[in-house]
Amino acid sequence: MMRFSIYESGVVIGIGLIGLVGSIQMQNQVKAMGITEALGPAKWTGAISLILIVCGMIPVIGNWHRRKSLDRSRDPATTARLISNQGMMLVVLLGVWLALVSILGYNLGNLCVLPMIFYVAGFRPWLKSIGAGLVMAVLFYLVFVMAAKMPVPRGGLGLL
Amino acid sequence: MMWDRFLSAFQFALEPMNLIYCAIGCILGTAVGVLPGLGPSAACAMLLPLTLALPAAPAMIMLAGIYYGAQYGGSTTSILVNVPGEASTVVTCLDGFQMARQGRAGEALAVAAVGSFVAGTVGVMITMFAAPSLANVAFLFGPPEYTWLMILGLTGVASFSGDSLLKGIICIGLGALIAAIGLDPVSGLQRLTFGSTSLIGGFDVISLFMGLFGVSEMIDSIDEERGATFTGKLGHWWPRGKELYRALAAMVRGTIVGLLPGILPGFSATLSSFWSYDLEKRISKTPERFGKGAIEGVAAPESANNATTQIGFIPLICFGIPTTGTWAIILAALIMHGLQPGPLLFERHAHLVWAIIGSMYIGNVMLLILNLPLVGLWAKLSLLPYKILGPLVLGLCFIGAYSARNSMFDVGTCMLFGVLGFVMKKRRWPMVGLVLGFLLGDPLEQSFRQSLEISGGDPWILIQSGIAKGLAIMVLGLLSITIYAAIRRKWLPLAD
Repeated sequence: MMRFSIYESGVVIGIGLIGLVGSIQMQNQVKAMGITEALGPAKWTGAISLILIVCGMIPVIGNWHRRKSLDRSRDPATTARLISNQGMMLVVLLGVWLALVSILGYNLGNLCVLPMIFYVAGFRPWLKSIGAGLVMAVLFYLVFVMAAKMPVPRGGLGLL
Repeated sequence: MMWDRFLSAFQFALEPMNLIYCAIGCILGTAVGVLPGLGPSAACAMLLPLTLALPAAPAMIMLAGIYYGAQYGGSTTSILVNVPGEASTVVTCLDGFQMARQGRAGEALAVAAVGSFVAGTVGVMITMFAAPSLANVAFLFGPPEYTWLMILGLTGVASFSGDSLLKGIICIGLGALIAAIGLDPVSGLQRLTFGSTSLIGGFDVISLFMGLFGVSEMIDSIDEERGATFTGKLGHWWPRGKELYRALAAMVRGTIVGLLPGILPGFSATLSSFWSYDLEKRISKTPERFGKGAIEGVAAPESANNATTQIGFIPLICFGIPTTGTWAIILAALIMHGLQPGPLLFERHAHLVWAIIGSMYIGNVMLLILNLPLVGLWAKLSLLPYKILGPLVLGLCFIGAYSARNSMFDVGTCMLFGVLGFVMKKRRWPMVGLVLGFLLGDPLEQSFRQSLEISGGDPWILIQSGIAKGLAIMVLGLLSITIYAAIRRKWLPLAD
């Protein structure tokens, strides 16, 4: 069983706190509007947020009790590397893809980013990945835009 | 009367266009499911946008075909390249891949296909008889009963979905919280949007699923630099002699093992496939063959997982409770076509429900007819390396997510949940909990709020009726067993 890391607990508690803050804000709105429902919309999300906070605290408390016997250097919950460099580059490229498509549009965005994704995926050398990326970008254009006539993002510049 | 309805719907399902949609679904589903790393959930999520342009009945017929095809495709990769299409086909890898290495891949694939057909057909027959009766029972369910039913469903998922009950509960809570973002359907107030106009419409379910299942899988595959290779021969198409007898007997046993738990949410096909494998090994006179290419090790789990999966249609259609992530996607598709699962679906859209049941028979047959001769083609597709598959799937998910609401926000959602799904996989968090929490969170909230409105705020309404009491006892019983098992695991010394 993979143990909870402190970061995971932190994320869960953080999400719970955000939910709780949002629920309290909403509860104030509900009161201001005079809504008298037994279980209002804010109470539901507030309850879930509290559950998340409590569930996030349980492993923190458990780990605190075990802290003297726990050899952190061998605890996979804290030492395991989550993602390789390759995977990290892909995640960054997904963000770049989103940004470029928002600016340049789907077709030009694909032309720019797909070669890089192919390279990260393992196509070597660069020339091969550029070729594969261009082929796939053209294929997507032909299938989705020309044949299926699907709406695609035009981007902020309104280009191709 | 039931027979009249079934026959007329069968006639509808046999119409040429509907047969074509079913065939397209089976082929597309198999083609996507056979790609390494993409199982039925990812296939259904990715191909769901294609069905939205169709009317409800053909869309559901096609989606059912996609589901079966993807299930079969997932078994193909388990056997040929030792990469399970989804968790329920993990067991198939144990002996299926060994059979492929011994030049018996053809036998393994054929047995998987026929076992799936037999179990699927039996499952459909049971669905045909049980679903209308259960739908009548569902009329006795009011908001308090539905509240407990959904809690039971979510409890089942939390109990069975992973190695930590706490993680299961957190994932369900997270899913329910994400589902709550947007406009409250009763008061119309914005909830957890923090002033963002993009969040007013909430998160789109297609984008979420494509991200969690499709994008995350490709990030994982590229991250681990997985390759897909199959260099063996397919060999005979069908087992012979003693092997044939063993395969057929294992199919029957696997089907029986798979049928019983299939109706329980969270009791996934993975468990029934493991159980059936374990049973085969225990009753075999030569258990040492298992793990080295025993044909029962393919026939039984494949039959079990299909039987469990098929039976999962009953709680979906009668109560709107999906038992697996893939049925959850199909629930989303039903809702998108304006069809609310539940007893009223049998009243108002009986023809559609029977048409779907009829198409399940046809889909099973079609899968067998289409896929056995095309085994060689599917084998070639499963050789597609991740360095081509990854960018292709990411591109498909991109456009699929955009097509939902023509919004880049949905594409961003897809990518974000793709990263989240990847992290969850690595850290062994149960994704199905997040999915079901997302899908059942809103209906659970509505039932709960309605219950309290009816009683004027008195929570005792939740245990007033006999059905509500029974369901509450089941929830408590399931929770107790799970907590007890978790405590035992923690306090028992580890085996050497």
